[in-house]
Amino acid sequence: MTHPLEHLAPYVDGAIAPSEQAVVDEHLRSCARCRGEVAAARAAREALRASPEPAAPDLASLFTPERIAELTAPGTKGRAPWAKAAPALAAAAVVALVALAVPRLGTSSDDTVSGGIEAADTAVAPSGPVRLALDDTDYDVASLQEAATTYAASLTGGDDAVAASATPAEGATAVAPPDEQLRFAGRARTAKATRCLRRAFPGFPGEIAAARLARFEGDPAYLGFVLESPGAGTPPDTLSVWVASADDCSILSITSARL
Amino acid sequence: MTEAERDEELVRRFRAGEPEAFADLVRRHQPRVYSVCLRVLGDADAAADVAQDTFLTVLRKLDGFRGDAAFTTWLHRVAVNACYDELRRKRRRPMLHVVADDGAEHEPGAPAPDHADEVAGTRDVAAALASIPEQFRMALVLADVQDMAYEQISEVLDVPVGTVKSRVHRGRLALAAALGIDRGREPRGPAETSEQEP
Repeated sequence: MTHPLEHLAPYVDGAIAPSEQAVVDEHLRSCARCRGEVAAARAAREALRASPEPAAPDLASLFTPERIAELTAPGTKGRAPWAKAAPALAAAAVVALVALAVPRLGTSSDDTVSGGIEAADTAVAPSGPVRLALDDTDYDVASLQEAATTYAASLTGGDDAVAASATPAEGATAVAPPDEQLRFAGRARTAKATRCLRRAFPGFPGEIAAARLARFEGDPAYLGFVLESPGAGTPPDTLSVWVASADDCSILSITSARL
Repeated sequence: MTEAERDEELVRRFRAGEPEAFADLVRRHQPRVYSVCLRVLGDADAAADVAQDTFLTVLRKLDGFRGDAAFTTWLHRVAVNACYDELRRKRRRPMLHVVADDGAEHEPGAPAPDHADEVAGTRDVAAALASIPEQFRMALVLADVQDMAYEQISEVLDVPVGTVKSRVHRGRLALAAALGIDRGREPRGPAETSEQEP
């Protein structure tokens, strides 16, 4: 017996041509197996259609004119016609990029991270809990140290930090390409990252100020930017960068820079 | 103005130098793109990331979009490819052991609950959907969630229409089995369950 398999999906949809429907109807009268399949497929279709649509995150708010100019500016893939004609937008993009390189200081608690997609395109340092940045950079010892130095300088407001952050495409800098800095992971992956870092560095002092998912010498790695204070209520004087394997939470590296 | 014409108008305005038109495009399509990503990936955080990636790709490639296909078809093709990329990454990525506050080590749990899980029974559908083969899942999501015509799904997935119909039917049967729906008969043999190419 030849089963009209290709026609069963549109048959279940009720969107089958009349001539084909007659063929399927005729077949179903004599084929219990296909009748069973049609019934099961119909039930599955109804179950899927009955499941409610989830509420989507607000992605549109990420695509501000400034961000679009940044993403389509020379040196990145693609280009929009206004990018080369609007130096003011380009300047705004640099400001936003600097802000991205200066994640906010806050709690490292895994359970208090906020929901939704973080608006990464603000011209000021984003406020709120730690959010895992997705960074395609493959770090090594040298670039990790550069990342620590740049990050530390950015916290102290040094001109070097601004210069380094504004020129991410020049050489193997520690600053990720602006495209990648746009993206942040959600709550679950952020919580995994901070747990992994704490597991890799148990008992190490300091507060995780920012985290990235990147690579270290080819292996997936979490980078934790940690502020260390001498204690007794004094302000942090050292920035450490913890590097833990994203595969098994083992220590891969650690470096630091003075604030 | 039809939906397709509205998309074409926004694309035209974006190309003419109105960046706000792109945000309008995102606003119009983010529910559908996120829905596809969430149903296919089964993880709300990953779905948000991949949906964001989809629109980034669209932004970069919009100048090269020739309009041979409808914008929605092209957009879905980008989203589908982004989902497949994420699924490949997920397969390559070893599962991470995490330590909870109580010090006990746990395997990562089920995908993070999404908004759909707020309705009783929806978790079952989402879990069942996540358990069926990726190709079936993708076809099923486009057909039964996005309500796309088989011809459009064929364009999105770049496979013949007959293959789409076969995948949708097989996907429904696989979903039914995962949901515990009894089809009342023995499954077909291997020769009969293979994908039917036209």
